[in-house]
Amino acid sequence: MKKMSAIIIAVALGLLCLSISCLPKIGDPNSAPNSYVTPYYIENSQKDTGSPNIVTGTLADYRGFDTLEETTVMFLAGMTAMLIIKAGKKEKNKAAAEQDAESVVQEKSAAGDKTEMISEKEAEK
Amino acid sequence: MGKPFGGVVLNSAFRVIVPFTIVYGVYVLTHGEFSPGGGFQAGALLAIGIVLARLVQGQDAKFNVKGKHAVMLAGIGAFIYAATGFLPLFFGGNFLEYSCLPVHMHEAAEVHALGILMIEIGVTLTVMMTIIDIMDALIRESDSDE
Repeated sequence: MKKMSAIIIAVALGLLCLSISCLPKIGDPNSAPNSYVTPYYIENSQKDTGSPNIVTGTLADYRGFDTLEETTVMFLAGMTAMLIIKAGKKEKNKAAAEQDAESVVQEKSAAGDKTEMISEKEAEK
Repeated sequence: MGKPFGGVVLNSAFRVIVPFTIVYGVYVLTHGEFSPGGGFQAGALLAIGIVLARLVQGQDAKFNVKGKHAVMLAGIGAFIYAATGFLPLFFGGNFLEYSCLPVHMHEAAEVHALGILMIEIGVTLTVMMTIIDIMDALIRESDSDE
């Protein structure tokens, strides 16, 4: 199954790399986005959006939905970082607590000085 | 990060730098429609103040936003953006159609500018609080290691 998905991903990547050569070149004046959308934005941005800055007009007005997703992704990234790091901390705490409990049991069962010494050392830590 | 860096030089540099970065951040936010700038940059600039406070004065700095509150405020920022998007729906417009916002101005373009400012405020809040949030998470992780 793993091999199968790896092969599918490799084929898809190969197709992607092949199709890149079919894309219009960067800065090509005859490409579709440069011949319809961009001149419209440049001519009508200030009239439509009321902002003399074309970048802001495009980012926040013409492409407002895209920016909404960007903001959501930002928020999700922050939340995920918090959750991952906090969850890791909790597991660590749990493991430490289990170790403590084990050492207590050892202390009770084994009367030898050695185990006590070790558990004391762990407790000090 | 239990102990702050502290010191006379850092404390006075912090006091000089932070007001300027915050004023500049607000300027970049509110002037984003007319000059290069906008929500993302303003959020990063505003976050600098609190990141510096954390680094110089430690965890219990006076000028601070706690991690819990940072996550909440980031969510509120994203909500402001979405609410600005949904508001025109109740007044006969499409999603994020600023000209249908329930505000009356001299020109239609000014309503657009107001809508842009509102979503930029949301973006700024989210970016600023996300930076603080990630930093808070990393600092607390290093705390537990010690």
